[in-house]
Amino acid sequence: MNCPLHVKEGAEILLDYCSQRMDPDRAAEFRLHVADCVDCRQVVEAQTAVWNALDSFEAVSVSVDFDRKLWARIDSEDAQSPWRHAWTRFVSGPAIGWSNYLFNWKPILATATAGAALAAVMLVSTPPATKPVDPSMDQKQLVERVERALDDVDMLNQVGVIDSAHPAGTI
Amino acid sequence: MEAVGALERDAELMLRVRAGDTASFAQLLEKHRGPVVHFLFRMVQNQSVAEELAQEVFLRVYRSRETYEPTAKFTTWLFRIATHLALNQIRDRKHEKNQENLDEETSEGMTRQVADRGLTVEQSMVRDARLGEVRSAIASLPDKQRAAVMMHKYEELEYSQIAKALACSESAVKSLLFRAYETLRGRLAHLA
Repeated sequence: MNCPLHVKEGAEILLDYCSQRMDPDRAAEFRLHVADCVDCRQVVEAQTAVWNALDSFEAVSVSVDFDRKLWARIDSEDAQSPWRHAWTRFVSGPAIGWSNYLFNWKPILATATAGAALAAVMLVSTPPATKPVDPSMDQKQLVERVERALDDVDMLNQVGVIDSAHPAGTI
Repeated sequence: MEAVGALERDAELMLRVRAGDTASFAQLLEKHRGPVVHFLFRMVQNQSVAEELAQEVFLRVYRSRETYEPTAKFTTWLFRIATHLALNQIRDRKHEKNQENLDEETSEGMTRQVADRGLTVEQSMVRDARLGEVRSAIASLPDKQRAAVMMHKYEELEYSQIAKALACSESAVKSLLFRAYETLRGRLAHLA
């Protein structure tokens, strides 16, 4: 057997042997090599010592109310109205990272950006509107507009536009 | 991609959760609660923070149920979320530079581990000192190396799973692990 310290995959061989992940035949072969190779023996002994030292770092037991707290949070989210639920999901971000999340939003962001750019061009190239913003728009109309916007977000969420690019569970 | 042939048990449960079966989520929680909390505890070395992060991990899994697709091992996905949260927390804490809670929790954690064993005072002190050195050596590792060691040594994940959890290649994981263990050998050699 070639000395692992002098081959490309040596690190993996030493790691697998010391963590007992090596298949038995290969481990037996490596054990024979270690018996003859001082350098490998030193590495294996030092790594075994580290391995044993790490064993002393035991994890503490989980709090007894862990599940109760979690279910309370889940129940609280489930009890929210659909649009609020969608909003919570939106503001709390994705399961893994914002980079993926933003990536999922790329088509929507791109469309929105294009739309905004088009609107800006039209604003510049067309004469100003003769009619100013309707001052008679009351509170009720404003509320309706906001509700429509939230419904749109909810609808997008329900049809899976937000998550369809990278479904949960994919890496 | 892993586990695309025979659907693993966890993935089956998660698909049931997607269909609205909360009892299956309870089963997943029962099975993975310990490993996730333990992993996070060793990463952040603070039990209350670890449990808070673990809650967030399971909450994110539950929130994502409607869009879940079993294209990777459930454990890999779970530890990817946990790793992401742990690394963010460590980064935030570094910015805060507030070690007060860590010190308190460190002492508490040690006391708990010793209390169960019925050791003499002297044995407890030796064990505390040894454990302190191990924790300190782990804490001194760069974040990704630390996460790789925790998943390799304690959670016994495969290289491919660790790679996916850390969003890097398998060869990068092996390199991270080798460097991490090399550092630990240097710091903990005297404990042999």
